[in-house]
Amino acid sequence: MTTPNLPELTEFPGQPVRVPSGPPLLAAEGITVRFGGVTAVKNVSLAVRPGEILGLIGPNGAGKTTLFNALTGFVRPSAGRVTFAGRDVTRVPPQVRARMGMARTFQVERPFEDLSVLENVLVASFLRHRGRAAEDRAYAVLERVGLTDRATQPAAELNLARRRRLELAKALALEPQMLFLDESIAGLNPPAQQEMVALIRSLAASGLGIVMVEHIMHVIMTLSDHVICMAFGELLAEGHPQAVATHPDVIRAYLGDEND
Amino acid sequence: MTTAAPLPGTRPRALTFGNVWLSLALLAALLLYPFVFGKALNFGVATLIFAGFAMSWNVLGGWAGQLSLGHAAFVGVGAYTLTLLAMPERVPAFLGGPVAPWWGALIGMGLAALLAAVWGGLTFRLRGSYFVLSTIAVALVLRLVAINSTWTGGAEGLFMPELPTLFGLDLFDRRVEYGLAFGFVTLTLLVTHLLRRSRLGYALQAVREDEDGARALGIDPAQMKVIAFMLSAALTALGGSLYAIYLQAFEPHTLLELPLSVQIALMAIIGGRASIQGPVVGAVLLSVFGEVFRTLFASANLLIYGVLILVITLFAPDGIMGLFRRRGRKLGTAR
Repeated sequence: MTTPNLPELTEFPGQPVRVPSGPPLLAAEGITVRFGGVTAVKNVSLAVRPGEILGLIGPNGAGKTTLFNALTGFVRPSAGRVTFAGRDVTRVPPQVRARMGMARTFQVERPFEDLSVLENVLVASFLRHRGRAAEDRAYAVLERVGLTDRATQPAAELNLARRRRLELAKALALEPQMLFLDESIAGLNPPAQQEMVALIRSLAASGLGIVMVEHIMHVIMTLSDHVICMAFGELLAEGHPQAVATHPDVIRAYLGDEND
Repeated sequence: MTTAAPLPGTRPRALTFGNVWLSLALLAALLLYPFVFGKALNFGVATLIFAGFAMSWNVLGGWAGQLSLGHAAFVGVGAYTLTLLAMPERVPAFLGGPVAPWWGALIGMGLAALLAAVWGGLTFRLRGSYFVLSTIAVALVLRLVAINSTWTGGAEGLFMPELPTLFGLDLFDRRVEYGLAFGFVTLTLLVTHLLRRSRLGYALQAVREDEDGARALGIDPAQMKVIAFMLSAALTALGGSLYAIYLQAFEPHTLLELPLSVQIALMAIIGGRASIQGPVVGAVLLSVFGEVFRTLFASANLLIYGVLILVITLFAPDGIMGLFRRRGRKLGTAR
């Protein structure tokens, strides 16, 4: 399989940095999503390598979640192509992508409320394991995210921070190569944020490719190897986190300019 | 209250068969019934068959969360298949002659599963109440076919022909029927306990709770629902075969009508869809109440029956067994 063309990294002054090297695990080319007459995402391309964290930022309504859904298969793009591990997955439904090694969390976390925390993760670990092995695996993942003390509690009773961790645990129990995190950190208190940041960093270090949508600027800036900023469905700026953060268009998109 | 990390060996288990002891206790009580109420075997057989129907219904309605008001269709498929295949005039000697009822019941299960696969494949893209409506429609179509075809006996229905004996037992003996119905309930309980501990069972629950959430974990909701539907249909058809033997004569009007579908669903819902034994409890309670009210209140019995159902759904939305479970949760115990 030939390496797909990577998107241009710099459209503005700044120093792009790519920590990991090698062919991308995930590549999206020219993704466009239209809902009726509205274009939610317009011609966005991106690539993620194993061990790389790609941050996706932008003001509300910028199309981040729609792009995210297009990457994970929950929305079918009107145009463009998504490839994962060298395979075109543009028309592959989400459940098959999950089996291939793409795992996602949901922005509005959605545990199976009638099931216990352990059972929630068990549903996911059944993807790769059977019987007791699946249960052992689920428990090991709970240990990793620090939820073992809640294992028997119904998921409906968890607070927000723990629900976020449960979302992550379910995604990890799929043993993915590629992780999509939709606002896993927003809404957590600072210590919980720090825990989550450390966890995500260790996951990337273990070789997972990660795409994360996040609102909190300093989180995305410290975590990401590479940042994409979207506004009105379009790619506004892309590159090293610091360069994106100081890009005039990005500042204008977030703060408005004198004409607004 | 944050508890310390559990000690090795005390780690909680999710994979269990559920409350097996409760099922065994229930079955023991049902086994005692003929010895205590030997004169009311008719009632016992019918109650057990309905308990099995409700358990079968719950595989789809409770585990996969897909409400069906068309399960009478599968009762009908089971009953008609066994009866038609057992009739010498329908299956002449050059075709092999009448089919033994146990084979007829198996064929009925297969046909019901096939019907469920086709029906589910067509209708599971419909959500919520539209799916419920479609289940009513399919049962209605089957009823029209049964009424308007001569080979099904038309509106008069069918009479059960002579049946061969099973290990020397007369299938029309109520005690034998009680044993068979008991076996039917045991089978449905067994299937449910196995479901409780299996990957399939968890996948069904995930689909019930959140379809997109399930998809994100690699589960295909449409596929899971069809599997649940086929399993539920096959089990219901098995009960339907038994019901036909019990009735000896039946007509489309009694077997393929909406009230039968509603009754099956109600028993499961009132007993408690989330509990393994709930449908059995619901079937026993509703049968007993139905019988008591019929003798006590004569023609007002349906009114009282309706009020009772209303009261239970208002005060115990999770069914009778849900009352116990909720209390259990407050004590901090997992299911």
